[in-house]
Amino acid sequence: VDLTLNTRTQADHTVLEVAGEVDVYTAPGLRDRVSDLLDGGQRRLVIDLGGVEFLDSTGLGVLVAGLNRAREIGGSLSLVCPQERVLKLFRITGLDEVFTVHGTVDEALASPAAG
Amino acid sequence: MGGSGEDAAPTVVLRLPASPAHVRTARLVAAAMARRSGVDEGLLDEVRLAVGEACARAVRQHERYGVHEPVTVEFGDRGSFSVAVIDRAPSAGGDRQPAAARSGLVAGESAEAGDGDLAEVSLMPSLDPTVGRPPGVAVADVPDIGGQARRRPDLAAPWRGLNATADSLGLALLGAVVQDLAVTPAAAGAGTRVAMSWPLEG
Repeated sequence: VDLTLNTRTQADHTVLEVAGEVDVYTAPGLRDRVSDLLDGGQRRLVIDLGGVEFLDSTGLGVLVAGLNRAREIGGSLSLVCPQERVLKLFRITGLDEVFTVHGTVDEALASPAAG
Repeated sequence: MGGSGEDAAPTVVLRLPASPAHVRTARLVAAAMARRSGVDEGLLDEVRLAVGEACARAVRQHERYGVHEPVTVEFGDRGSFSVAVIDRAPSAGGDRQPAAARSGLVAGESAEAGDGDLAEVSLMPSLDPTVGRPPGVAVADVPDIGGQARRRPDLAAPWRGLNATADSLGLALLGAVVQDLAVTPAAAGAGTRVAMSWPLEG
């Protein structure tokens, strides 16, 4: 499997663990999951990118869309990204200024920004 | 100059069905070819990302225009490691100056996108750093994407417009990780050629 998605609940938040490769082929799966969670009432979302081995522009686009959807419905979406090689993509595209990016899930859950 | 400047025949040519599933195939071959050709290990991530972005863009273009021909990826290893990704989708074309062609990559494609893409096209300005300026995300404009995002945190209407958002982000990534990038009309017929190259060690 190129992409693995696991959901769990922790400290009143939904943590979506993403592992594998998020690209033009697999990103629709991530989009559907995020969309289902947000519109299914899981409005405080933490997306853990710790297991991501590859992320492309399609994956970044899905995260941007998810953030917008979360804001639209009064929820929150924050990211956990411990890997420098993935973080770099956010910096290159300026998206590090758009997202709240944490190093660990605990940090994300403790952050006021995670709502 | 640039990656497209090498006239030598490519060492390896891939013809990929224009399907998202095969973009990964192209990335894997690119990384293997780069390693075999002698590209520095530290650059392999960039090669993988850049080839992936160029192929993803080509596949999106083929889907957008309903083009069923394969996408061609050419690898060369003479003097430098070069990769060219050639799509067969209609492009702005006409102007062979790389900067203008690069602009066409965004402006032309979005302007000419088919009916099904109208929603996406109209949403594009929400992440398009060229708003209020002449059309065309020159790759040099990349930092503005961040600037734009900071000014307007409410970007695109969710879920729709994903392809356009990905196109903009993909260009930003390509421009940032490939120092030697040339975007020109394909040599024959419709299409765009995205050429990149990396130095070889020793």
